Amino acid sequence: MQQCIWRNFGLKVPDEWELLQFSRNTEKGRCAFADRYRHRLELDWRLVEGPPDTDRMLSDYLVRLADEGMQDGKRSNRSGWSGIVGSQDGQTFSRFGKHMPNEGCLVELVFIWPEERDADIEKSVLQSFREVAAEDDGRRRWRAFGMDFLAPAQTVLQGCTVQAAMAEMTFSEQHGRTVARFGRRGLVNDWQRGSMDAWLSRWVFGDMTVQTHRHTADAKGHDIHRVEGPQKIKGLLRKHPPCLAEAWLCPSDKRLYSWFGLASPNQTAEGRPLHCCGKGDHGDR
Amino acid sequence: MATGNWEQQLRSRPLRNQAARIESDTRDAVTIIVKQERPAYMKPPLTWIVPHRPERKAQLDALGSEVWHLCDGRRTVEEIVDRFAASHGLTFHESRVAVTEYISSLIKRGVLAIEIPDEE
Repeated sequence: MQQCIWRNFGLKVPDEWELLQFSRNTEKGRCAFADRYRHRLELDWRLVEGPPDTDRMLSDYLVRLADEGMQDGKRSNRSGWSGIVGSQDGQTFSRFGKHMPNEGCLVELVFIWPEERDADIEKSVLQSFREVAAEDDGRRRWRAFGMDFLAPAQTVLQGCTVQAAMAEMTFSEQHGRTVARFGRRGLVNDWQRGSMDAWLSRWVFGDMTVQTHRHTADAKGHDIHRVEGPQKIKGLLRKHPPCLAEAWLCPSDKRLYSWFGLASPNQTAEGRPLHCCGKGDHGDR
Repeated sequence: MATGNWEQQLRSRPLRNQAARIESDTRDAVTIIVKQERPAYMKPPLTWIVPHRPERKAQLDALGSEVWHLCDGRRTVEEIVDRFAASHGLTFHESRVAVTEYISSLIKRGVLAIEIPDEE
């Protein structure tokens, strides 16, 4: 099972299920996971005023799903989740809902079973689901598209670009400037020309003025390329806070990882917000 | 809910255009000459200004050449995706997106055709 953390929700899904659809909207959104042939799991969330009347909600939902063509619908509770199981178009769907008090959200997990319903997978995913609390310093953990990182406190996911062998996520202050970017790229030998320093300078060109280059090696043997300099912000009288960005090629998966962010006074190599090499250093909390 | 399903796409089989001619073929680059039909509007006086070219050249880069070499008429798209993923350390869906986009572009350029399996 692999762990995914999106919008402060963490869950474990089978290794062959990949995140293919996502939403940036924190109030109402959806993520979808797929095996090699089709969607297998959908995670939906919606902000709600308070805990719903689960019994009534499920009864209404059961009626609505039957109107939409679901057959053999019945209630099913599992691992603290309340749900409905039924079939439609030759597939079995099991849907489970739960109120997440810290996030103030109603969460629904929809499993799609093209063949037989797998109770073990269903139970493992439901049991693994949790709300992921902020770090002590307010940073928020994300884990998706092979990246494991801590986004700065009080920021929102402004953009997420996913292409073949390339994923990049951008965080900004509420309706404001970009304050952090995290990226992971594959097929490096096929597109990278020139040095890593040159690539990193191009990557941060719109965000910061590069003043210094530095090389370090971390405990895992990664050759870390770092650039530092003031942030580029429009407006003569505005303060240009110091920024830094790093990039490295991970020898274990041959991917290029990079991140950009505002420099914090106590920034250390151990406090690097982006991690590679599978599990990452943020632990499996 | 949206239930994406691309199983049929993966089971289809890319076929090389038998009428196409390979001009050069190395591991990192392939050049293929594809014959073009003359469109009905390509006649004088238009062809006095824009002459009709009976052949068009498709030059494939290293990744494109790799995909083209894998399209041998026997492998399915799924097998090509698996091979491409293994050789470049990609996940299945990363490879699927890259390979299917490339195969689509080769189909548009007349280099490949696609054999779609019957639905079961």
